[in-house]
Amino acid sequence: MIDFLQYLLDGLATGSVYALIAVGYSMVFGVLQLVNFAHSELFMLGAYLVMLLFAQGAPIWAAVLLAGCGVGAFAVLMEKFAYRPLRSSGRLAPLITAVGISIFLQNLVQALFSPNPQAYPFHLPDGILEFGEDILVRQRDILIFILAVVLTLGLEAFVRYTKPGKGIRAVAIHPQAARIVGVPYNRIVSLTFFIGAVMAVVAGALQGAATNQIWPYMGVSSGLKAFAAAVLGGIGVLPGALVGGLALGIVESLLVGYDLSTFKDGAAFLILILVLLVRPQGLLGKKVLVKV
Amino acid sequence: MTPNISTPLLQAEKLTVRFGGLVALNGFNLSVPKGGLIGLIGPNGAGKTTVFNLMTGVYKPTAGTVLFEGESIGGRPAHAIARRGIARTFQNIRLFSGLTVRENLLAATAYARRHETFGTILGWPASLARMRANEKKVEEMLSLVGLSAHADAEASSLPYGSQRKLEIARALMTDPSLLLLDEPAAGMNPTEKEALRKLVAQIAARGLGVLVIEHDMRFVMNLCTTITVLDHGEVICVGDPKTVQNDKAVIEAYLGVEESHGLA
Amino acid sequence: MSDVLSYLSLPLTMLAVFGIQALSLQLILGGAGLLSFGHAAYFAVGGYVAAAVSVFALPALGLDPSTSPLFSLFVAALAGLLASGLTGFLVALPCLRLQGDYLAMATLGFGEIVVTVLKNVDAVGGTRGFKDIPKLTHPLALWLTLAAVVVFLHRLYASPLGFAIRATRDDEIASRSLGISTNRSKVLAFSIGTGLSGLAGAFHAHALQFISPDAASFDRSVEILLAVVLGGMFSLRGSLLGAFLLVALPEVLRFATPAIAEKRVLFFSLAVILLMILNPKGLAGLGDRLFHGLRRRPRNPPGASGSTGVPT
Repeated sequence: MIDFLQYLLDGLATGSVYALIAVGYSMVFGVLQLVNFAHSELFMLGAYLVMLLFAQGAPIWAAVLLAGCGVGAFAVLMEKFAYRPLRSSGRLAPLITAVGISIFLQNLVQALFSPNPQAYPFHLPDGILEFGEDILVRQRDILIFILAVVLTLGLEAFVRYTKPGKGIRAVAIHPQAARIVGVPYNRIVSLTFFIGAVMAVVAGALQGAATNQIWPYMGVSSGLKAFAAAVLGGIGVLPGALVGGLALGIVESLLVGYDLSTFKDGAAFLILILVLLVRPQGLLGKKVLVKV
Repeated sequence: MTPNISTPLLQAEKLTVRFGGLVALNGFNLSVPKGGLIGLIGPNGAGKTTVFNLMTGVYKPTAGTVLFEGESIGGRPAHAIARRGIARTFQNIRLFSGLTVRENLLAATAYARRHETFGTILGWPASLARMRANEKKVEEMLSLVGLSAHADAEASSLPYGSQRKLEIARALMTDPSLLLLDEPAAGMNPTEKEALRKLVAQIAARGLGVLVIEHDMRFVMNLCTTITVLDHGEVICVGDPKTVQNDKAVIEAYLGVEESHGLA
Repeated sequence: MSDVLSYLSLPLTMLAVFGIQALSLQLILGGAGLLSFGHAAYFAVGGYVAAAVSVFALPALGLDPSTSPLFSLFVAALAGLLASGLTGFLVALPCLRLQGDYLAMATLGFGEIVVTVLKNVDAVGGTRGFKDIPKLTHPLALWLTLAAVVVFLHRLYASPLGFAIRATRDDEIASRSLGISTNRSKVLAFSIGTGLSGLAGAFHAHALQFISPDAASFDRSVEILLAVVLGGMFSLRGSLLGAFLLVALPEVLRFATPAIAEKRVLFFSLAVILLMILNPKGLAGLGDRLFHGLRRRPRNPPGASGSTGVPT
């Protein structure tokens, strides 16, 4: 039982990173019904950019802020020049383009830096807190968890109560109607990409700081699992991303804890497929009437 | 069960469908006899296309029955209903955009010719001969609707009016006994409309039942023998063109939308 | 002369193997409009099963593959084809009910599961891979198989089932209104495509005498996907061209500038992005356009015209 609790707590940090990436997948899917495959590379780019800025002597908050704006701007441009021209081309074309961008960015970063993992210059406090007799929790895990919860719920409040946030929801619910009542559609789409990118940058920096290494393909596994988390929680629902991410992080941690680590990577996808088949709308999602 | 002469081809009774709280169609009755030309009119949003979607299995009725040749088809899957002999066209044209005009018609025979797949792949002469006969039927249909010259064009490159004709031809390739046409004359010029009217009358004369949704009143009045008028999901009038044209409720329903459609 | 031949023998084998693999994805992607992000998984399933047949099953039945290589290859390849086709069928049955993007995710997820499973089966080498597979792949047999696959797919597209598959790709609602069972079209297209992919895997395993879980990885799936899209996913020629690019380009570039050969995926992905935006029909489509002059072609790929129309 103590073991179980310990593994569960160990999974929180990984799960929180998944959740922060999942938010971006979820929001973009909500407004465009597009799986932005390149989103996981925004997470990777964010980790690298924060590293560069931090190495240049920027304080960590400024490095994350600047990297967030930079990667956010990149995401906005990516949508504008690569996805927008394909909006009327069915679903296959943008999805393939997204995969193309994803592969391109991985290989670009690999060419610019190195295919090998690099040590991360920034670290989170790594003190250990003891609960009761045998349960140990790292301070940084708590920090990451709190950050993920605050950011996700803050974002939920943003889309619920602010004007641009309501615009995002309007576009997600009914794009044509939103346009008719004067919601600036393209600007809302850009905003969505920007916010998703900023979250991914935070996730990238946290991942780098927590595991002390980043590499060009770090987005592939974390990104795919984050997508699985978004679907698990209910794509388009922000608290769903949090729940899905944490659930997945914990399941992986339990598998590692009980000596089943070889099955760790497959587990996320098994869960994904089962969820898609049994409850396609995800844990917190609402059933949508498919329009004919 | 063998339908006798008096059994209508299609009979809808008390058909009702709700989407959430919205009643899209309420207690709808309709009967289409063999060779009958029935019109279905009403203002935008009255529920006309919903009727088609219920009869072709796109939606499931909340209540009520649809009998086709005496057999209940309400709620059955779309492809099963199509195989039973109901073919349709779509208000927003739904051609196979990646296929040529000829291939669109060949696709319509895919189910009927399903047993020829193995033979075609293995190159059995008997199969190839039957497929050639099938292609000949396609050519005949193309010339019937006047699209022979465009047989190899991509379907989506055709002008709007021709796309509608191609959709009708595609529906006819399934050898249906009931044909549902959803705004067949939309986007056609007067000459094309007249040709279409003759074509549809010709189809009905072969013994097919035809149900037409159309906004062009002159077209409907000249074509159909019986007209059902829908408004807000309810039938407000049934009768021959004269009766319908002079019906008070019908005129009221169309007031306000008169400018856009023009009650002839 | 024999030097040249022996140097070319491996690339030529790879060309035919990836030719079959590209064609198998063409049926699923361009033919049926289904996005599979896990296509390499079926290649691996076919390769592993075929290898298991020639390494374990045939000797157990008292047949030494080295004495009758062609017959053994035939049995092993057939087993690979059937096993991967069946796997594809079992994946397709529940997953094809899902809409486009979700399907892509489910296929991707399944691919990762295959990698995980292969890594954990010690009988076939686990993470180290399946070694010492007999070299049974004869170049002539392989190239004849490629030719047979081309003819098969060509005739399939002209058959009633082929029309049902393409009609389903373009418009499911219209297809059903013509009596076509769209689920059946999709499941069959997916099963046939995955089966052919397994066939390619079987030849591959018996040419290199080795196959590892890496053959099922997401990277391999993406590589073949990019190649097929680049060559042109809507035609058999286009996907063969894609396979040719995938195999030949690195070989040629290796002579010219090794630095570029290393970065082939970088250029592939960039080319795919530009191509999707400019002309989704791929290089083959681009060739057609130049060849036929400026004949108007629809911009939209007939991939997933989908359910945008809402009848009132």
